[in-house]
Amino acid sequence: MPGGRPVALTFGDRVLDCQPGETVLEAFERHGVALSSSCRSGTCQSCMLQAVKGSVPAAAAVGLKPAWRELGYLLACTCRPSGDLVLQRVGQGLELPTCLLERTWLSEEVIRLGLEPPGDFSFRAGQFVNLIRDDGLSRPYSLAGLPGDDSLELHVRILPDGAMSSWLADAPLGTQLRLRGPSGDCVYACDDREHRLLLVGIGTGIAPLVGVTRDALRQDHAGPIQIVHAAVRGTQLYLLEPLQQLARQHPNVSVFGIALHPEGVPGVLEGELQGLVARLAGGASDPRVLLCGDAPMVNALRRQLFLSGVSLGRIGADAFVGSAQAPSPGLRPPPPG
Amino acid sequence: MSQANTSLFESIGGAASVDAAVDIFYRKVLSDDRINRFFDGVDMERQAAKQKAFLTMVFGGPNHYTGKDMRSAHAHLVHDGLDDSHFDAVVENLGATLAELGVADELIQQVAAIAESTRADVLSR
Repeated sequence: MPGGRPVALTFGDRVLDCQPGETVLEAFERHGVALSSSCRSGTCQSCMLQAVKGSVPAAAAVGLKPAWRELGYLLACTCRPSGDLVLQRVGQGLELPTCLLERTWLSEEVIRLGLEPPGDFSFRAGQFVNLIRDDGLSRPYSLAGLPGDDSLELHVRILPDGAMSSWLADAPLGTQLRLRGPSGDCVYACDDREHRLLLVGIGTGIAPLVGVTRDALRQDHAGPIQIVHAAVRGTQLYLLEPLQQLARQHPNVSVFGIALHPEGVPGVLEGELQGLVARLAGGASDPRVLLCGDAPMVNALRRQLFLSGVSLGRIGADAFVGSAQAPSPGLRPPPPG
Repeated sequence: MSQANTSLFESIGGAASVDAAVDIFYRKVLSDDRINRFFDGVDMERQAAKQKAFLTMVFGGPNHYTGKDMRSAHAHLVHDGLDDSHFDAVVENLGATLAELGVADELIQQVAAIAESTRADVLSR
């Protein structure tokens, strides 16, 4: 029931009143705040916003993917709020100070960073943040852990020409940084509890999926969880051992390591990722799929899965852009020389 | 164009039929070698949302599309060679989608007529 009093909508640095019976979209327009819209009836999703505080009426989330509902997404045109809301455009976050607490090498080319969790920061496992250096240089990195961990865990692949990554490899512990976020919708949705999860991590794309797996297990996920850890070379599968250990502890978890060149690493399949994913996706039950890693491969897999019959609403994707100098598994690296 | 054709929209099945149609329609378009090059490098999730808005409109549902939206959204594609043959292919995929969902021929004709009304804007005429 709409209450008899106006509520407050906080949007950036503005606070707008929303009158009883009025939608968020109408309130924005009355105050001259630009927001794209088209159908104005909860269908086209042009006017989607995210509530970071406050309760979203169920009517404002009809037709949204489960992961989006979990993240507080809403349709402004059908949202008649019953209480105050703090809103932002989808995927924007706050910029907050943090500090480099720890660094360990996970492989020859991947470091694990621990950052101090800022006081006001909340996220869902599987999301990413933009890490911002003093001089403004900024790069997105996935969060590998769960909320409540002692530090925010990021896995960073060190690229020889990477301005940020090579700096992070040497930056002194205690260095002050800022982060903006969280962003991304590759999160576990409890609607998926009974379903099969297929999680495909390419390179360091496995990092957020470890967080998602822990989140799913913590919420007693009942269906099978299939984790694919993919890279060009077998030695780049830096989380294969801990994942295999996880699979031994949880009978519903299975792990597949795959590389174009296994290089003798035990338990690694040799071959192209597309084939393995097609085989797994085509299994007995309809999967919920999350794809994380280098953009060309993630986009190719998403298209392949969609065309083979998996609904887009059941595919979450986090395509890493910008760092894609490295070849993706399945896209053959150029011949040496 | 912003006037919703309520009876058509309801006959087709309303918002639920838009949801059912969007995957089928988009899959047909992406699999159609006559037109799929126009979708290379496009973010699939954003594109699916646009398809949904388009289907809502041509099903006679509530929308606030303007010819200007259609014109500006497709101008760069016209520059890349988008022409009547591609427009016809999309309308064909639209009809096939509806047929697959069991929509009566007469209603498919009405939907095709609404789609047809966007031709000049889509092709920058």
